[in-house]
Amino acid sequence: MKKNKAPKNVFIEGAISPEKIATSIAHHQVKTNIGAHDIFLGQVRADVLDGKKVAAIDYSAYTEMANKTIDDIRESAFDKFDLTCAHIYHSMGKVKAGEICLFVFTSSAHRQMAFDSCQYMVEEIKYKAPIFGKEIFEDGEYVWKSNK
Amino acid sequence: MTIKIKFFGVLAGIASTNETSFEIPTETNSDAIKEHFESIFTGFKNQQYQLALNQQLLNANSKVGDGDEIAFLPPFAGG
Repeated sequence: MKKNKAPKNVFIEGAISPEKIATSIAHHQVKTNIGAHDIFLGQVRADVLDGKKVAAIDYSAYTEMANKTIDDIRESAFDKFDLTCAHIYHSMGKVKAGEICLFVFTSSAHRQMAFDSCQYMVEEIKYKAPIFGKEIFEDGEYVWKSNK
Repeated sequence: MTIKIKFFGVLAGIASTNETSFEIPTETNSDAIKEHFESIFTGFKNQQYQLALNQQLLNANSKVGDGDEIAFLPPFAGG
């Protein structure tokens, strides 16, 4: 059932730190009904386009719609899968190649639900959330990225 | 009647703004708004994009009225 409250803000300024991911895992140690976690980490890739290497992606979004869309995706994951917890964070602004820009974390009693729900949410976010990325090359020029 | 217009990504660059408003005397529709802004920002015609009305993606022409918000959304690149 849909909760009647404002969607959570999933956006974090800049890269998602490995410390945030570790802390998030640690916070779940008190939830002893969980038997399996799955984590997806999206990382900025140093693609080479026309001989020029991507140094960073500068993310922007239609924030209100993206938060609402991602909240709906998370709610639908709870409807489809037997989940204990689900957390989603996405970067806003500049994230350098090699840094983390998406963190999806699912927890369930058993592994299959954790795997399946994590994959489901990642695919849905990529397909439905109005997030835009400017791939910035080492020379400062840029192109707009599009999910395949 | 005022309609709030938002541009994102490459389209905000072409329009040189993230936001504007559209004043019209009567209710309109999303196709008319698209046509209007494509005539102002001709570079839009060379781009792939979709429209959202009040934060819902549109897949058909829809009525647009006072206070509504139309967003011009280029391809998504999250993750």
